Amino acid sequence: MTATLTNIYAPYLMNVDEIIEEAPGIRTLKLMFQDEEAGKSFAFKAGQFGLYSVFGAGECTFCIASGATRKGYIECSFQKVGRVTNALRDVELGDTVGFRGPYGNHFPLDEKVKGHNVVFIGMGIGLAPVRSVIWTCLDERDQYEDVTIIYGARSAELMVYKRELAEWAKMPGVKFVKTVDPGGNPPGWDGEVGFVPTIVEKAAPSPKDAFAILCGPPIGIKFTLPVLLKLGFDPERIYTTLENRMKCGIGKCGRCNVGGKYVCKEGPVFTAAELKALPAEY
Amino acid sequence: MATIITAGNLTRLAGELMKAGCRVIAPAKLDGMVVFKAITDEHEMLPEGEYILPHSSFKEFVFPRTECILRYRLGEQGKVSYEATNLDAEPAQAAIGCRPCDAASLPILDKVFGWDYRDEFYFKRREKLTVVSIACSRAGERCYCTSVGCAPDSKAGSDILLKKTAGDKYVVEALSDKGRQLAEKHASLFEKAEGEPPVEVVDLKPAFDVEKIKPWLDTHFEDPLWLDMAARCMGCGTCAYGCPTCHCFDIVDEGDLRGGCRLKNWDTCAAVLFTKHGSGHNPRTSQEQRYRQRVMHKFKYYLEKFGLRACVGCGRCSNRCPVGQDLYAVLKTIAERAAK
Amino acid sequence: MYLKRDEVLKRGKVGLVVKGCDARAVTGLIQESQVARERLVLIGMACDGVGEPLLDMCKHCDVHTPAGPGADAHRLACDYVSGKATVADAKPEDEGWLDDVRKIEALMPPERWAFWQEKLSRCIRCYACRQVCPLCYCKRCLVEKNEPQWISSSAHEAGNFAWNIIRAMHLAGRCIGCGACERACPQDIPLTLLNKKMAESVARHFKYRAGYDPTAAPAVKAFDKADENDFFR
Repeated sequence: MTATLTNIYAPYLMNVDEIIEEAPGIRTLKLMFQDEEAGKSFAFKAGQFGLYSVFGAGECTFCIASGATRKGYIECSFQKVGRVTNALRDVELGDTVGFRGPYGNHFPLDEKVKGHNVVFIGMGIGLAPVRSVIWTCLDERDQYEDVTIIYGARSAELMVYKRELAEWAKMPGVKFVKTVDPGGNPPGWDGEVGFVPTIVEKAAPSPKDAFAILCGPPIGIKFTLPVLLKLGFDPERIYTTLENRMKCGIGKCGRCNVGGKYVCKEGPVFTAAELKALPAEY
Repeated sequence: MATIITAGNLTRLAGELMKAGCRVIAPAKLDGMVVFKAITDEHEMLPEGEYILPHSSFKEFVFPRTECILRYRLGEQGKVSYEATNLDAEPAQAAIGCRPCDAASLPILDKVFGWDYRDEFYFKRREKLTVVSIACSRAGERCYCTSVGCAPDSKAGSDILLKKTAGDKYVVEALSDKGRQLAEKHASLFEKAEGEPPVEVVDLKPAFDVEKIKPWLDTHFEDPLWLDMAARCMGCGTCAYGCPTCHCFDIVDEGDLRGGCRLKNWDTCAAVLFTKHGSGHNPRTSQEQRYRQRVMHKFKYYLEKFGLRACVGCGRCSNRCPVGQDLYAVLKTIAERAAK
Repeated sequence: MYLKRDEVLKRGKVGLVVKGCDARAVTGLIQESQVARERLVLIGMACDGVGEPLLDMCKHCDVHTPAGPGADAHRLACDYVSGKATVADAKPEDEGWLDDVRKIEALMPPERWAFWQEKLSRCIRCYACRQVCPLCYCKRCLVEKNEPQWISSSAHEAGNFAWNIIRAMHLAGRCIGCGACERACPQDIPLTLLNKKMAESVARHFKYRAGYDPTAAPAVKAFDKADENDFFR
């Protein structure tokens, strides 16, 4: 896509339409385009990201967490870790925030995954990009074969999208597994207990005719990838997304480079095979 | 028939351009240094014989160290509006007396600022810039343009290339429409000469085979050389900020309770925080990794992606380094190891 | 200054060759608990001054020969000392090192302002001054702290003034006058002018000179109820 805006750093102005408290320190914002026309013509694909800004604090990068099939708004989920996320946390309903995007590549649902089985794996707040693909897929459920969702967090309290987890668990044709790290399980916990790689191994989703889509902290991805490979998943069919530090999002500022790749342009979505070919600087 | 311009007329050219409202960027004195400066008097422009290479590159005039990309206003009830910066009113600019290595940096920067998304902040300034460079008749101690595929009389990026000939005169070669237009507009300053006057261009022999660098880098991501080379590196941004092709930047907001600016500021891969994630994870924690990134980016990644090396061999990084780290020496070492 | 780097520290004990001025930097680091004396093997080298022409700081040096074993407790004693300087140490009453500061002080305020405006406008925020400074060791420099953003990180006038002045303030009573910042500055900003002015003020008001006595409490850390300045009480 070539931007039509002359100023490629100029953001859309968005209204904060809904604020959802996901977990301690984690929020989801639903953002509506102030310019309705822009909202109507805006389209993205699951896995793409954007730069969200609080004017005066700066910009930061997250994936778009809502489904690509849901039009007219976008959602982002974030944890407060720095200057911009702290400012984002202070916004109130109706406030203006900036958004530039969508940027980067996407999970190849239309191109490859449709018509096949798909296994989604999310870890902690890393469920956000996966959630976008999950909804994009579930909104067109009939176009996919078996769907498995495995989600893990440090504790039950830290799980994000709690009401949606319950919804997915009840959906016909969706195999849903949730897990928390040992010690993170409250009394009466009805899910698994164990780290995600262990639980993936235990749940043993079939690699047959299947794609795996996973996201989580770098350490989580590092330990889950070998499990998927051991289960027999094709490295070309395991997709994950990298969250390198970015400033421009459009292949200029040089910050997100991993080897010869601009994560913001040639990523953030990479297959396990592609990751293996990159230097381990992510 | 060759076209000629005298040194005196080159100064006059600067004067005429300034009178016409053009920003003239030329080597000028600043304390003990020679720097590129937007001059206000044509006599500030140093005669070509008095410098080999200005201390800093002229990239600042196409990619400023800090620039406002939009101005925002914080209104009532959390409402915000903004105005994007409009560069249409920027004046035309001409760089006179720069060296071919500086000029050659422009086609390199064009690649990154132009691929896919076009960065108008760079291109608006770039399009308004006419480059009149003078081929080098002398080389500096740390000049190594010929070793990295550039040349003291390289045409890349220049709109007009001047070559020194006898009698304080220069043979003029207009290389682009912009260059030809400039020469036509100020035709009275140029003269014709019979035949091909002999020109003085320094004969700088390449010190290593640059073609050997990338294959070595391809297979030596892990190598003790990186720690050796990086051990002395202090992690400042001197090399990157002096480099005509380094282009990394930061985006920050600055303002008060009423509003402010979103700024694009130079940044450097040598800095620890450059790649640090919000989560605290940092893909490049050591100076070794950061130094490697700098070399890899210039001589492998950029070449793979854009077909050009991000180095013109001006030697500024070596000249400016506070601890005497010499990229030229690093490359030479690599080329020698590759040859073994 | 390499002493604080992880790559260096993880290799164990460090052998360090120091001139008298370097020993002052090490003294400062020891005083501020940045390095333990036991971790260092110091090899002192007598020095008549460096640079061609001789650096200005060397002309006013009063530590040409580093102190060796057996030196009094108020000097940092090197484990070995090689040679003896042939030039005499500057006397305490020698104020020659302040000549260039006096010149700037003699300017009228508007001229002084114009002087600094021109000099500081050159700053490109490469932070070479900070990176080479033996006493700048913070893991995260104030300019990199953005909650709140204390100092603008942009290379415009306000940002450059803020950065360079705050840096000078942070080195007040700590700068040992090695001049590395000024030599490293790619933009030729006379940074030592600021540092010397600070050193002079600290010496005058607090009777303290940085980097001489490893047992002394650093000026900015010392607190004495008997201090002659009333804001201390």
